[in-house]
Amino acid sequence: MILYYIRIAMLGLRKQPVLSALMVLAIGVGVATAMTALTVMVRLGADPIPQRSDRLFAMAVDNWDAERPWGDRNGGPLAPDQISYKDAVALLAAGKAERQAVMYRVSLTAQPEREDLRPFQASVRATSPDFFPMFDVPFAFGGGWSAADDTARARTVVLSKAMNERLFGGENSVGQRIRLSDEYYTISGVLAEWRPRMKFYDVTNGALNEPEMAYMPLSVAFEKELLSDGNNNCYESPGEGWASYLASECVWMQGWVELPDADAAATYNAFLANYVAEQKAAGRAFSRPQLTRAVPLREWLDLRGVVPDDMRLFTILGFAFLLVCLLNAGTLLLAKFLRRSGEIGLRRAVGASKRALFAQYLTESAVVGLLGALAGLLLTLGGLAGLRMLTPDFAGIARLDVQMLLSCVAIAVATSMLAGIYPAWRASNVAPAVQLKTN
Amino acid sequence: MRTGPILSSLLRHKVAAGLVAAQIALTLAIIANALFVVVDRTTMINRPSGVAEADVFSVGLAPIGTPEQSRAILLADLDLVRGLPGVVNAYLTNSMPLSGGGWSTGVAAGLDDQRSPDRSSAIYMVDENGIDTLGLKLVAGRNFEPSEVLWHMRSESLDPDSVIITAALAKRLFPDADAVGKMISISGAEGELKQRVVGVVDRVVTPWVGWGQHEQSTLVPRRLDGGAQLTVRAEPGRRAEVLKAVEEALWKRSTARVVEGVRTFTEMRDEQYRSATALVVVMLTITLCLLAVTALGIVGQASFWVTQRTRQIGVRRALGATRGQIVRYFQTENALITCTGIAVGVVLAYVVNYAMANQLGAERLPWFYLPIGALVVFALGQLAVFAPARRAASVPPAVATRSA
Repeated sequence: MILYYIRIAMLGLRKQPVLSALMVLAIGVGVATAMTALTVMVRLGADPIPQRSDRLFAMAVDNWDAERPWGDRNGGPLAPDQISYKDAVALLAAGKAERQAVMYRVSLTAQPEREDLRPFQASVRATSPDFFPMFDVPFAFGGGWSAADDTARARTVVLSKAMNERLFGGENSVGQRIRLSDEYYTISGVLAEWRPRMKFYDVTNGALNEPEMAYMPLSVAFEKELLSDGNNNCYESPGEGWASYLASECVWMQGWVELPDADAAATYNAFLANYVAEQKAAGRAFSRPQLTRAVPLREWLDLRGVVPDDMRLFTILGFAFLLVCLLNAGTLLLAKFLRRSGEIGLRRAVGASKRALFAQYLTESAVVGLLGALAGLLLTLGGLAGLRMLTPDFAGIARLDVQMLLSCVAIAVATSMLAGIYPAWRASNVAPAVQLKTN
Repeated sequence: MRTGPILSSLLRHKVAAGLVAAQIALTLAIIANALFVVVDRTTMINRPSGVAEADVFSVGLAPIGTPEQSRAILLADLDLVRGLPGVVNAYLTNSMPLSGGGWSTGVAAGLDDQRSPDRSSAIYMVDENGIDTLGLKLVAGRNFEPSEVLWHMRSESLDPDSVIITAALAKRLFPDADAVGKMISISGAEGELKQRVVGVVDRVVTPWVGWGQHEQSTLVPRRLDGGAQLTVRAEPGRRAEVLKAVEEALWKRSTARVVEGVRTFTEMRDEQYRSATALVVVMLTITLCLLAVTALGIVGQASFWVTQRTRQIGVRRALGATRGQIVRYFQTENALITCTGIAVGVVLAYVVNYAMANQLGAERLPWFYLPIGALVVFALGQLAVFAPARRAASVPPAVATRSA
């Protein structure tokens, strides 16, 4: 039966080819606009590390000015997006979570031994060693360094795949040495391809940028007094020299903990509450104690607003546009079906039931939707390509995956069927006798 | 033309007319808001920077070694570049306007207002050649003397004796007085007012575009130790060639430090405004597609009505109606539907704007976007209905005599 309906639908569409084509195109344009926006939104908002995200928590520490919070969101105060040296090392040393990592980004000059390579600036993440197992970072060769290495300030380094290719042509370079800003480091490991959709562990300094080219022990970065290459934020002057900078309330590091379940999270938060009380007693501000807590990864990304407002705007207007296309399809389908009143009357007179006619016209709407989906898919691909060209940051984000492809078809068919309900109902209610008479 | 009969005919096609009116309403709501965003962002993108944009470029330098070594490297690089043909002037700095990265601090003219957020200022390190290199206009006071220009270590606090500020910052700090000669503080914390304003430049914008205080900048007579940007001004029209020559000459002089991030001012500016530009393109595309789709809906609907009413049109023509009257009938009908849509659309536009303002902190929609948007959709409706109306007018009176 459904095949018969589809055949009639195709005949119906071919009877008014221009009108049909325009309808298909209109639905296609509407679906493409909404889908382009939605794809970027969904992929920006997607879990960057789904296998572990429920175990990962950001350390939010509110050491900020007692008089003015660091920021606000929806009227409530926000803790700083980064943490101070004091809090980073204290929480790392406490070791109350299953794993913990504190980190920051630095910039060093890579000085290749090969004559044909010029020196270049390398972005390096200085971190404590739990970084690699916590974030499931894949190694091609070797591995990270131990806590003992970190304490001993071992000159050791992990290279990204790209860095290893640039310096060693992709060979296993574990055990070799590289020179960074006039110091030799032994390579302990080389990463396999690792490109999380978002640098979730440091959204402050370019959430959509590539991960760093290398990783080094935190203790070495401190010993060399390396300043952060990323954002540094102080609410009061840190004073003179490295020691007073470390003792200041300036925030420039990121901190993460791994907590296996809700109990562990509750225990950790209780520990943090205790930590806040201690710091307050020691004379630091900590005037908004509720903001110092372990924030679940997904909530953290949301709080930090990793989805740009411009994208939300595009999505709101994109869906409003789709709604216009839905009304438009409704208008055109109504006109199209009622134009065939004579034919409908005839079919009713020879015994077609209202239900059969309703089903047939709804099928015709769905066929329009399917064709619209096809047009929409092509236009979405075009829209995403355009968006990638306009904002190179979205190169890895503005891409269609299977899930979005299926949603595209579903949205197109749903839209046109929704638009077709009333016209199909009207068509199925055409009185048989009257229509025969007027013709 | 009497609207009575048109109205009663429309009321018998409530749903069809309602669908078109709803489309018009939504279209108006969307294009009013989209055009507002377009105008808002375009204005932002076109803000003047104060810099001689076409001739300036910047080179990132990263020397290695002790402070003494790196200072020597940077000064030798500066000397080399200043002597190259085609180079008008050059200086070393921490950051460039519209480069996306830089320093900011709270600036105060009195001890009570050090933390008010609208007293923020970008900090640019310059020497005596900074103003000339960037092409800034000194509107009061004097430039820095070479003797004032000192090295700044990153871990030290920034505490120069003299500063030059922008006119915007001067106005913020001293609304009713001349800023030159006044004392201010750029430390961002409680303390004495240690910096004397020696000059005021017309305009130089901050490195960031999303900042509320886009024109509040402070120039300090310092050179940054360690990684620095060498900013160069080329002779007019020679930037591309000079840029290449500078990069090559620097690498040729030494490979003991990195030369990276060679960018023209135009590239920096484009990158900073990239997302705003993208939004403008997206909004204009949506607006155009939307207008096309809505026009299409009107054409489809009107054509159907013309077909459906062929006999009635014939009768009217037979009873003496002119072609013009038939055209006007359909035009009036469309005008009635459009006006209903516009009435609803005005309310809807504010609902959409309210949602945007609430969710995204967007600005309130200025009222004049509504009449403009209304005019656009009204014209669109009349334009779209014209062809079907012409077709209706060509129905011959003889149709009235045919069949039934």
